[in-house]
Amino acid sequence: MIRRSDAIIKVMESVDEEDLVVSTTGMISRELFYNADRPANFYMLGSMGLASSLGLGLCLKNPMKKVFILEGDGSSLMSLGAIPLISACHPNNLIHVIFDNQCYESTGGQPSISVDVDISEIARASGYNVTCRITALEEIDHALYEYQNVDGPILLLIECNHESSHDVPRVSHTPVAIRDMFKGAFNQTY
Amino acid sequence: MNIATASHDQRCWHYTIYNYVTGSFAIACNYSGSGCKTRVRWYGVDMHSSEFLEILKTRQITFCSGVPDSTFSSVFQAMLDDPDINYVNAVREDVALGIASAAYFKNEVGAVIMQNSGIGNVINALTSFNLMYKIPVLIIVGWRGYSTDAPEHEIMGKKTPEFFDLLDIPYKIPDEDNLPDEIDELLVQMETECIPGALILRSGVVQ
Repeated sequence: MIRRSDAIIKVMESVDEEDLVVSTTGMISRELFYNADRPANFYMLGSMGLASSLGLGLCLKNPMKKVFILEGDGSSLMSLGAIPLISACHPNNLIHVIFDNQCYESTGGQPSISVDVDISEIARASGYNVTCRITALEEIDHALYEYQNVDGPILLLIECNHESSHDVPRVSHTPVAIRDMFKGAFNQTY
Repeated sequence: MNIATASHDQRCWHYTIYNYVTGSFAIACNYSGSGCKTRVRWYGVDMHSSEFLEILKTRQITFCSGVPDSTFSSVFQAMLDDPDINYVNAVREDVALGIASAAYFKNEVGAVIMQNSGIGNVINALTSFNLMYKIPVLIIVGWRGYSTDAPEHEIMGKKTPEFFDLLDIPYKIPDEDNLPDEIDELLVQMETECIPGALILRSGVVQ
């Protein structure tokens, strides 16, 4: 089964310099920061469940840039209503990546209900243009390559193991620094 | 204010109250079926939803998201119909806050429009997102429970301004005649301090 930090690295290999990334609170932001820090990453340090809403807003305000939302099963379930809302808004520049380890790993590995619920099916039923469930690391770049010219919203659900990350530092940028670097990247034209 | 007309019988009474300053009038009534509670509703020269949208648009506030509220129900349809307003019909108030906050990155101020019952749904997003990252957003709140209202609005109706006091979020409670000035003062403070601000609208201020 895929280790989440490996999956994050793989996803980021397919992210272009100008693409925007919003990552959810907890270990996903920390692993993203540790492995692929860049100005165009918005680390959502708190507000569990809010990353997808901010990501949708960014898509609508900047339709020329791709926006990747990186979150877990717990955070997507917390704002589950955002999934049909994203679909209803038809953001063709939105790529929603859910690292599904079926637990709240950042808080100690307590189980989540994604053990029994397929979130990718919820996105499919909501009307996402593409949804796929990924079970092997090499499928990640294949999928992102295959869908790079396909209109969003696109959902990749990546099945991950429970392996918790040790010694991954907290995001060291201040919240205001994250905001300002991201704002610069948001307005950068290539 | 003048009480212009009145009627009584054993079961109910009503008064019509005119405010000659604003030109508005209210009907206060107490029907036997209302549990002996007096109900007051103001009618008259309330600000029309199109005027309200013009106030927002002239201040470059055109990216809005929210959850409907009957306090200013016509504003939502007006936002959906106005080609100059991009209104995202959100599913929850915190989702609306996340969406509207994206305007900041384009050097704009986004707006969230919602009922005060939604304050409970946005506290965490305000504290650990907007206040922490210093991302201003205008929160337009309909004040249910300001006067006699349905029981579910009673507690939040009494506490509405206190929530914003608690979070050190500036707010204004305008009348229809000082709304433009109040919103300007609020926007200046939001921009200066880089924080969200709330415009708390009582029933009848914007129709």
